Amino acid sequence: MNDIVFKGIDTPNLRQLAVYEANGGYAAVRKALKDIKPDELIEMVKQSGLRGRGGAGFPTGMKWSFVPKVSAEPKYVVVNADESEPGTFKDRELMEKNPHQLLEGIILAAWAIGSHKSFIYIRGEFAHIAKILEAAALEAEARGYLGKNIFGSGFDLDLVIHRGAGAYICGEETALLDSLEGFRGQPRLKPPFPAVKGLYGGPTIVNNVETLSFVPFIVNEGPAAFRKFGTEKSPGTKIFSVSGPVKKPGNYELPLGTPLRKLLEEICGGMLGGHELLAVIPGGSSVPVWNKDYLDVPLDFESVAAKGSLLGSGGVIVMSSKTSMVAATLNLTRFYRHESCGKCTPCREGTYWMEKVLGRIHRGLGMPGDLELLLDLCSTLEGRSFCALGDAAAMPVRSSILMFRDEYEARIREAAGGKTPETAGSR
Amino acid sequence: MTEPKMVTCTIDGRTVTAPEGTLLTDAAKMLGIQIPIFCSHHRLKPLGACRICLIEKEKTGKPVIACAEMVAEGAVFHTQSEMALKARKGIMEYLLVNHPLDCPICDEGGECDLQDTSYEHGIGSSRFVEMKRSFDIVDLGPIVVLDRNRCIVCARCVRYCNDIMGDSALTIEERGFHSQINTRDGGELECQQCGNCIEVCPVGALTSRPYRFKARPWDLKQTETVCNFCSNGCTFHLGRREGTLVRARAKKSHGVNRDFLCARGRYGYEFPTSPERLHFPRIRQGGSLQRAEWSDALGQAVRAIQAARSAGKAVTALASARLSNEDLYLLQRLVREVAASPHLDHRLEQRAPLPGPLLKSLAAFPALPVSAIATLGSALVFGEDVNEEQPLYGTSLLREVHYRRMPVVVAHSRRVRLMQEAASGLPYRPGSELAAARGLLKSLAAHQGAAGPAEEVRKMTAGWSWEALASGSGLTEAQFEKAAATLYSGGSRAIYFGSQALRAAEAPDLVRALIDMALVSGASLVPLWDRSNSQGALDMGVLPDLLPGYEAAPAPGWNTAEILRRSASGEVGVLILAGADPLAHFPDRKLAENALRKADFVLSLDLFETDASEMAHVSLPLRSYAESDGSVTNSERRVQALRSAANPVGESEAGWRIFERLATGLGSAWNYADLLALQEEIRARVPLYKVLGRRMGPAATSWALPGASLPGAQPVGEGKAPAAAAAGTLRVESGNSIFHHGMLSQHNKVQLKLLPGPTLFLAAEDAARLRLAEGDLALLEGPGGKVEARVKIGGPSGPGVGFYPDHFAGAEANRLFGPESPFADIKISTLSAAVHS
Ligand SMILES: Cc1cc2nc3c(=O)[nH]c(=O)nc-3n(C[C@H](O)[C@H](O)[C@H](O)COP(=O)(O)O)c2cc1C
Ligand code: SF4
Ligand code: SF4
Ligand code: SF4
Ligand code: FES
Repeated sequence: MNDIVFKGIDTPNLRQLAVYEANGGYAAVRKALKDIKPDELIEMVKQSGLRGRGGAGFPTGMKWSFVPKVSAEPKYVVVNADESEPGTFKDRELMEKNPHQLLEGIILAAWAIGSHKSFIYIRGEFAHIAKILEAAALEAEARGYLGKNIFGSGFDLDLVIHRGAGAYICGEETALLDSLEGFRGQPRLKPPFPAVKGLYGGPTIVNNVETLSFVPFIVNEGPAAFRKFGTEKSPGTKIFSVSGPVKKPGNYELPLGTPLRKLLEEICGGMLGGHELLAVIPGGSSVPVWNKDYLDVPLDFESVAAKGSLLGSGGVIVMSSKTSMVAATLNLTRFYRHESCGKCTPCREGTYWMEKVLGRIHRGLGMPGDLELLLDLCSTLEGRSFCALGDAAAMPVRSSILMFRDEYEARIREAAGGKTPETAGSR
Repeated sequence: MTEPKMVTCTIDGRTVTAPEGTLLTDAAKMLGIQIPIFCSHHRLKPLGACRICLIEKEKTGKPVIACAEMVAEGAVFHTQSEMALKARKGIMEYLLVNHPLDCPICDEGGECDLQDTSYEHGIGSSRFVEMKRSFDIVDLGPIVVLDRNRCIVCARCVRYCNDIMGDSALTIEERGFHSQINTRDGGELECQQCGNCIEVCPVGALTSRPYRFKARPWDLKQTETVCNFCSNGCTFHLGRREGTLVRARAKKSHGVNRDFLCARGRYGYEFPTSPERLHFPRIRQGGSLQRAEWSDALGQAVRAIQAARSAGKAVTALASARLSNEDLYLLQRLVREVAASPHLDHRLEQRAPLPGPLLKSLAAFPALPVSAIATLGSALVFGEDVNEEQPLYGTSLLREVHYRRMPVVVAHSRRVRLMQEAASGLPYRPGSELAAARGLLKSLAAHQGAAGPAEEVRKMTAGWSWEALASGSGLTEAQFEKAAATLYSGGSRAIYFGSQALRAAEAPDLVRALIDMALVSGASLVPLWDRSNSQGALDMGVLPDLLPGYEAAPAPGWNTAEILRRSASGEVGVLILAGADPLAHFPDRKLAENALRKADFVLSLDLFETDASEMAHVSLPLRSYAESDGSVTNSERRVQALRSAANPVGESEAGWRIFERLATGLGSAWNYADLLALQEEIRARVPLYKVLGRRMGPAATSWALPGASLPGAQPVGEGKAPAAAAAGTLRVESGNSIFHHGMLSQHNKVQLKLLPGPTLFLAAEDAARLRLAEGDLALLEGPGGKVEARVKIGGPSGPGVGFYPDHFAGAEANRLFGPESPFADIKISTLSAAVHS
């Protein structure tokens, strides 16, 4: 556990450059700027099999290789530190405790694609972390590790830390870019993908904090060392953020492929007293929920998808028998309704409508046919919205109805209590 | 240009081959398959927001949006499969969640995309049973009314305003289902009031205050015809309810503008049915004009022409360039053939009208359609505030600057809109157009190879000193170099020029320099003339030195200035004013007054009483474009049909009918059974106009000068450098504003709301220096006299140069400016400060 990015995470004062350096920090950048050509670096990351930790799991080396070698417009590295997915809190700890590891990752990414300007787009509420990052960047710059002529290599890289203003959608990479440029945070039409035409029209890579934090290790130890962990298709480790009524919730870095049961029962110490496991959302709020029958699924991208959910951001949300699934789903739907950017019809209207229907079921005013209506609304939303937020809003609803239909039906039966469907419908 | 790669794919079982990059919605259209759209729009980049265009793409697993999907080799699409229909039906149901069911009282009802699509997809009601959200209806200024309840948040209005018009007056605020349209600051719209947002709104969320509740679409008799203001030649549907025109709308127009209109085109429909129109012929009796019979009025005119001829005095004519080609053609036949006089012109505002050979050289350049702007490599706009005066060209250029950073050079004395966004600006000093043109020509020639005109031009320009050009124009050699590099950075290029260049005192040399620039750089050359049919007036030979079709006149006659000068000195027997008012438009108002007073006989044909008509001996009521069939030719040289959309007012007559009756009165055997017979003659006699037909918009053809080849390099004279502005004054220029055009629009109430009267536009820094504030009433004193005007900050002004639009009777620009130059140094004093609440 805690083999790579969380290694020594609790070392006192790790935020300070001297401490970070004493623990082997900045060796990767030193080495790369001197001995590794940008193309070779991209190749190393490709070989490591590192996949994005922001949710989609896209191969990082491949993403970098899409950036054109020559470009009339400046190229950019943008770090997605918007971490707003309910149930996900890993980037926060990485940045709070080990900011220099991220800075190192940024410099390596910039070196690989030939960028001289980078941005960290950080969730607005993380004001104190923005300060930590700023302090780290200042220290690095003062030492010549950032800014002009890094480590005397002649390579320049500026870093701007930009705070978001509180919108979940700004974690979607293109909405993030629009927000960074000063526009309304709404996703952009793709193609063109950011790697070709991103920030201010220049080729841009957008990577998650955790993703970039892995890069120094890959440079220092080599791709093979990274591949020692995890599975063939999901190599390496990943941070799982566990929340809910388990004995030891928190962030744990584990090899991909670790079974859910091991995470919950061994590492988190099982359920709190008086709680019985009811449901788990394995990858942050935006993925389908499981009931307790899925404990033996290995937590890697492929295995989780094969069992009908997604690994997503690795936010493992545990719910117990004391949780009402109707209430939990309503709560999530309210979140998506609130965060829907409003650009596309199905998500703007669908989340609003779904919340209304779930709301009336929850308040004991559900109507016969409401579940079919909800499932219908899910199918007119899934795969039809502009960005993945729409799918994300539908998945919890559909999956919780599929897995916990009894609870929903009981609620609706109570509501109809004696009334005919017709009179129940006409309030 | 390389030929685009062709791609073949299948839509609904039929194959279609289209250039790579073609959007599915367009490819489907080629097969006659309509895919519904709301958020996408042909002028806008795809957005993909509304999702109504979802269709099935085989092997994709989920529906794709046809408005952003491109044709791909071998791809198979279905627009009517179960997946596609289900997806679209779902979107329709979502769109109706919060949409009120008020079609019966909605202005858009009957012309609504949402209504149409909802019929098509069989959605009558929604399963949504909760309360719909509701908003108050708000006025966003004098033109636009917003009903947010009907808005489907497609963002078309916002994007059109921002991307195409460059105004950013509208925005979406809040997010999610709270998303709603608002103005930038929540107040009134601060924009060109073009109303295109209303036009592109697929529902009735944005409606037009002037038209609101005036009619339902099915009550309207709608006729598509051509706008009569500027030379862009937009087409629109004029809607008439009973006797009155109640709206102009370009939705589904077939014009070169497609659905674009500027504020004056959209709101300039009132004047034809204004109660102030002239209804009857009038004859001067005892010092005033009295109603008369047509036969008497025409009889007097015929006798006057006969008298002039027998007295050996000149018969002369000045025409409006808003008249139709047919009117203009017969007018020149009347003057040349029947009255045997070569003295006619239509250019009233130009101080130095272009000589015939130069006009012919311009005509030798091939026509360039406005649609070509979409694929141009680069452009130069010289001496033309194209967004203010030629709005279709203006927005077309602005769009390319926004969407693909098309390299554009703008040369103008004021910081005009396009210059603010252009890659390169040449803000020359007012009056130094020629020095600026010479500087740019010198730079352009220096970049080019040794052969052909470039060589000749380089030799000519080699001797010009940069110091003189720089001090003459107020620009630096580096600025000229940058402008030249910008123009050369694109493949295919075009040079546009307009009113400021044409009205300059050194216009002929300026135009020669522009011809040289085009020759040297291989650019197309496009003059943007003032009025809706300026091009036709040139083509029809309403000129002292060219016959129809650019043939040199055997004995050149007098131009406007010469006609007026000769008239003032008693040499003119008859002065025909065919819709032309030299008192309003000729730079030397005193000379024009003298000319009208001293002519033996003045015959005025006009729509309204004007200063000139009231000095005439006989005044005849002319039909307006809205009551006329015929043709007009726009700046693309496209000969478009005019169609009458309203009943003639009173006893008004078409110009060509009046000229025919005068000619027969004078003994000619003219006899046109109808307009078609006259057009037949024009086609036969003017080979250029073989294209004359009953079409409009892109279907109408642009003429090409038969057998023309590009002219040779032109010698360019050296101008005089303008003097520095006199102390205590501000240099001010005049022209058309976006809200009006010439003097006709002062008869339109809506346009008067947008710009109510004489106005001085000032840059903020100049206003501050002169201690003037928005809304102040100021006294302007210039070489021509004094006028009073309201102060407005911004607009097409500055810095260091004011702008005084020329539209209002009693305060015409020629009462303020002197005859010498189109700008003057004006003394400005505050009469009364604006009342600020
Ligand atoms: C609605 C939405 C919200 C997202 N929020 C985040 C986020 O907070 N942090 C993040 O890293 N990625 C987020 N993503 C994923 C990003 O779009 C993108 O895939 C990711 O930043 C790429 O980085 P990676 O390849 O390193 O994972 C979000 C995506 C969607 C659709
Ligand atoms: S799915 Fe549509 S409305 Fe929802 S966040 Fe994405 S773009 Fe915005
Ligand atoms: S007002 Fe009309 S054009 Fe604008 S967003 Fe709403 S529906 Fe679309
Ligand atoms: S004034 Fe010109 S641009 Fe405006 S609508 Fe008429 S023709 Fe078009
Ligand atoms: S028209 Fe295609 S998404 Fe709106």
